[in-house]
Amino acid sequence: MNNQRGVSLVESLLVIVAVAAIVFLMVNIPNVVNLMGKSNHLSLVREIGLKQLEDKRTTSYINLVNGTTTISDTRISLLPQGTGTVTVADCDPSICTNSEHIKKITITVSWKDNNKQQDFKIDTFVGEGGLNQ
Amino acid sequence: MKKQGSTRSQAGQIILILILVMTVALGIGLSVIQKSLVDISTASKAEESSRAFSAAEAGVESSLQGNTNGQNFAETLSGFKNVSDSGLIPSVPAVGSRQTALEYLLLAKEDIVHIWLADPNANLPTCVYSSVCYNQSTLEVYWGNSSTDKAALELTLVYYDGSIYQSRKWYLDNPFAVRNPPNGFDTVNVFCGGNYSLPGAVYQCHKTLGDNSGTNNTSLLGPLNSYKLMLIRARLLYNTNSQPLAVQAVGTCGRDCSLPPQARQIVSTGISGETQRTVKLFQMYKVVPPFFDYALFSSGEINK
Repeated sequence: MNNQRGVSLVESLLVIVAVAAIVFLMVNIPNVVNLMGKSNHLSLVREIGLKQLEDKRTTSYINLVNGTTTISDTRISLLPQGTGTVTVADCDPSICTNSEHIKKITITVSWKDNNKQQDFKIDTFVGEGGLNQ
Repeated sequence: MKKQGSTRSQAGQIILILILVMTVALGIGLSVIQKSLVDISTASKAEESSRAFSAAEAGVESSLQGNTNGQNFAETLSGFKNVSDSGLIPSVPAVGSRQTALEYLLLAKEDIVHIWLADPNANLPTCVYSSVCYNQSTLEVYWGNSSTDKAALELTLVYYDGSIYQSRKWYLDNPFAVRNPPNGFDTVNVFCGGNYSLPGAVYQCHKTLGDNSGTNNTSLLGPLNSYKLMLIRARLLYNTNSQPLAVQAVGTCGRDCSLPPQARQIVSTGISGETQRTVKLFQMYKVVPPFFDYALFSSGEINK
């Protein structure tokens, strides 16, 4: 009878495992949510960046004016404190040694995940009479 | 005793249910964690891949401008390398060896192929350098791959006589075709049925343009010594199925004996982190559209 009223070692272990599992899940849920949000943001940022890149590639070379402009894609508002710029510059003379008609395009998108600054940058060249020109 | 045994049995059930619920919850939790980890990993790889692809495209753009040097973009830790530009298809042979044949994909009946005999990027019709215009007296032509579906070949040579562009046509037919000679096509020294083997196909017919044979004299440069060869338009006739066509330059003096650029292929490899992406670009040089062969061109008004 005394044995029947007590808690067996197996039962105790099972409770400990159950509690540990719950704690493990509870601790990780915020991280999981953050990771899912981060991956969603990263995918969105990549889409925005590539769209900007393709837009520049289909712009006539003569209309590619040096300077930095703000990205006007409406999807950027879906990012927490999201901002972005497109920078057009002449190809560095150390690279384009023969003064080739090439512009360097740099897309930068910034946003915040968990109050941490996140940046996405991508570079490419667009040449006169080149791809999609 | 019976009642106590029942109570003990019920307590065991609760534990079993608890284990079951916890197992399910843990399974769901772990799958969610795994999914989020896979998502973030995929997003990171896609980001790297995009950077590498953009870098590879930058390499192509750079090569299109004549610069095949590699480049690193410091701020994104990406770049491109191994940029190659064949510059010429078929490639320029070394002095002492012959240029490989220029073989076209299968042509349907009356499909037209445009073969440059002068570099379209040069300041034509001036042929200042010998490599700008094809300057050999003969050119090999191969066509057809069927001994039963016998194809004929129409060739239109466009050349510059020093003041205006001129053209002349040749019609070459398979000597074993029953339609010939009634159609009046040239069969003299058109060799067919010989199974002429080139790397891309085995051809039925072969003709050396400029061998001064045939009723319509396919001379390239005999009477045209001071003329500049611009292009040849080739068209298969009478064939039911699509068949191949090829031309091959003669001579072994390197670039000076070769056909000028018809197309080029650029290969560029972009890198970002551990990711590499390779972009290949095939650029065919501008060609005259098919309606050229059916249109009447005049520098002035045409009076009926």
